[in-house]
Amino acid sequence: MARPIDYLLAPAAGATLAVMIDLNSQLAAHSNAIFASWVAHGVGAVVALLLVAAASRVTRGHISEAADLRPAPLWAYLGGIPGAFTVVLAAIALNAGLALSATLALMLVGQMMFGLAADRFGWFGLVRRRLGAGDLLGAVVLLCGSAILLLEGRMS
Amino acid sequence: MTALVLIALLNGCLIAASRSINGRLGMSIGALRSSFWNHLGGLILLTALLAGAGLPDLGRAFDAPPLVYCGGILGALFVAMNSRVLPRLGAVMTVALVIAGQMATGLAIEYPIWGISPRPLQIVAVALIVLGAVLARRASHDVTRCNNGLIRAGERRIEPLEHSPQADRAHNTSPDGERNL
Repeated sequence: MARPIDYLLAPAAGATLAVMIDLNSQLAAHSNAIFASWVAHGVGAVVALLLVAAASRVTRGHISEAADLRPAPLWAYLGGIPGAFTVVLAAIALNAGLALSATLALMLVGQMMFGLAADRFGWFGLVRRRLGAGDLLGAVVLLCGSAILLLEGRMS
Repeated sequence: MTALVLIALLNGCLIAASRSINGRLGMSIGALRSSFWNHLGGLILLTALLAGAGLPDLGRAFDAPPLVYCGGILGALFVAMNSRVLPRLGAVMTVALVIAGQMATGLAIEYPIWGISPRPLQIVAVALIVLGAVLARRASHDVTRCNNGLIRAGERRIEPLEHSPQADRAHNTSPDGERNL
């Protein structure tokens, strides 16, 4: 069940992501993009493991946070692969001369397109649903705002 | 240039795919464990890439302030939060709200450093992003109310999309049938 807190958790995740990207790009400036992402994934794996251990100590294994009792398909364990590969693709696009703001804006467009398709076709165990005018209008309005912000930020 | 545009678009798709796959894993084993597997998989791939590309100047890397090595802590939290939320709110809603939080925070991070206030156009841009998220939220409201992370269909907007002759006929005559797409 989607709870009200989920609507707060999602933008909080976005805020966390923004700070993370800021720290990581500073590390990348002292090294390179692949090394910075490698460090972030290593630290992230250790921290996630500590969080798992802490959570199972708190719940003593009585409460499962899983929502679906069927076992996960094997491919579900491989989400980190495309995630890590994005670092390489972003570096390729930037090194070949695509502007940073344009790269970021296009990546947001790609995310939104993929999200629309994933919801429409029920990929990855998502609930399948028809897309309404609100979804498409919302996506366009949101992407316009992001594009303005990205282009404005670089002009100052 | 077209190739670069396509690469950047594909990159966005990969990001969304990664997060959706982690959301699927989170449904079965929990969001925190999903975050661990995500980072382990990425670490293995990046170790191979780093072995191929060679290490950077480590002296210079270690000169960086210790704080910049803490990004992974936030990364672990981000993947866990995203994996919990995505199966519950759907991909579009999650992407919209995450971008809204990300952009607003990006703007907030930028300004204390430069000591200037946001320009009106930037405030308008953040308002547009939030408006976009609200529009997507209204569209997905009916879905999220009955989605508890399990695959379910049959209530209001979550209609099964299998094609039966009756369903096709209904779609062809109904104004809110497949044409909505």
